[in-house]
Amino acid sequence: MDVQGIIDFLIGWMENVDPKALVLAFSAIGAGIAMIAGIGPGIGQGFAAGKAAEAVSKNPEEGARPATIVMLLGSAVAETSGIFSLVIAVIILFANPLVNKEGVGIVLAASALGAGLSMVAGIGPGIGQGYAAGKSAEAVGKRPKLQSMIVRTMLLGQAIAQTTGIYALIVALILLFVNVLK
Amino acid sequence: MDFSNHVVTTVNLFGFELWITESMVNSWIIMGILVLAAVIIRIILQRRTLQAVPTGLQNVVETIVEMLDNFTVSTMGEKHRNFGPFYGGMFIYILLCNLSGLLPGPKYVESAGYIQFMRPPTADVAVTLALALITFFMTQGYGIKAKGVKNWAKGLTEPMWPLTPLNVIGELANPVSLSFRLFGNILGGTIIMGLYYNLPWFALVGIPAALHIYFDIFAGVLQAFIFVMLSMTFVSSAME
Amino acid sequence: MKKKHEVMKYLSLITQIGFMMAIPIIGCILLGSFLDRLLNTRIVFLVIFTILGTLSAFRNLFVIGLKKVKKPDKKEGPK
Repeated sequence: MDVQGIIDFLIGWMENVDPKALVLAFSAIGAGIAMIAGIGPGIGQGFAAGKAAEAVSKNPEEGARPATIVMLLGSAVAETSGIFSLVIAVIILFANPLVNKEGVGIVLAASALGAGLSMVAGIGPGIGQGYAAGKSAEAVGKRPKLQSMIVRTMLLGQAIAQTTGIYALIVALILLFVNVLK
Repeated sequence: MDFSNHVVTTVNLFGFELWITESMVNSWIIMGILVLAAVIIRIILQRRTLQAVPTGLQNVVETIVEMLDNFTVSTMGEKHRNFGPFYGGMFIYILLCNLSGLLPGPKYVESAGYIQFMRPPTADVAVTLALALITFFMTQGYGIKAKGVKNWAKGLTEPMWPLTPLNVIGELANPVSLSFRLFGNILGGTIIMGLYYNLPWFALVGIPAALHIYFDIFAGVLQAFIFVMLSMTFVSSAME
Repeated sequence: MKKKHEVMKYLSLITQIGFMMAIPIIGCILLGSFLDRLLNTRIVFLVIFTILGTLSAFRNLFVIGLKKVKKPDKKEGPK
């Protein structure tokens, strides 16, 4: 059997299945794949926690509380990629907008899968923002008086890092809700 | 497995058909318990004379009230102490609603299993949205009252006037995020516990206690705390 | 009691920032597509509202982040 024959067979099979079942099946896969983005914040926040612990040990009297606060703030920003993925997965699972739409079954199914796949981009901002949080916590531990300046710079940098995650979220939402691929 | 909000009865009122759902009835039950407890405590305390150094029931009640007032003051500042009773009441109500998944409750639908727990009212997005809307109107209302309509409107155009629609959307996102966080956490806990109770008998010995402690008690208390604290933060920052 | 509340306040940030960034974007995209369907324009409203929603998400990020850092300074000042 050549490759062309197998692909024709698969796509022919997919066109004969009930479209609603096809959409639900690919939604399930999409929701699962979307949560792979949990890798990023995990790594990033771990790095931030480690750097903050080191900062607390280096300057326990003055730098401990500011370093912890900066670490929590930075970790919260790193968490946003995970929350975006969670929101998309929950939308796909519980309020699936593609199930009742009329259209070609396989296109709707592929949209659901694509929405989930797009959220994997959350790995990058998660790691990067966690790294920024860790280094900021370390810096604040060394010089606690400069906390607000350091936090401002950290937030600016993390916002720039977040932009690709937001593009991914926008594309996923457009795939799910807006009827572009008619 | 059916996690939806069942309709208990429908009431026909002025030509509209009102659905009385499970969340509403559970919410009334909790309100009834709270009002009854308050009335009973008041009657008991009125019979005795209040002592300067409290003992017994008066001690317990004063401790609770003082804890809630301190919580309010520590978040909003000393001069907003008169918000204490309101937020204390809101906290106790949300806490009891979240924990009501632990209590056995009336059976609304015939197809349910042996043990019928109450469905927490806060697992319904309508209830949490109502609570969040209270916060939203309080924020805007107290902001207008404290700063005057002109200054409040000017506050929406800070720091630069093209940012006005962003500020408006941001203000609207506050209650929505409050309501969804509470709803999502409590509904998630309810679904997980409901799914777990469908496992065979050997998984039901001992382990549900630990799961209940995490999902119902810890998450319920934490979410009630976070909701009330965020609500206080919004109102106090609108009034400064 | 004060120290315990401080940690709780910062822990609540972890979901707060995430939701406050996601909800304007989702809301604006839904609103944009709904207006497009209503007024039959192609993707004009969608694009406008998406950009608005994204900028609003970033504005929320900055307001929450900077408020949390400024508050301890302000509290220790005039007290």
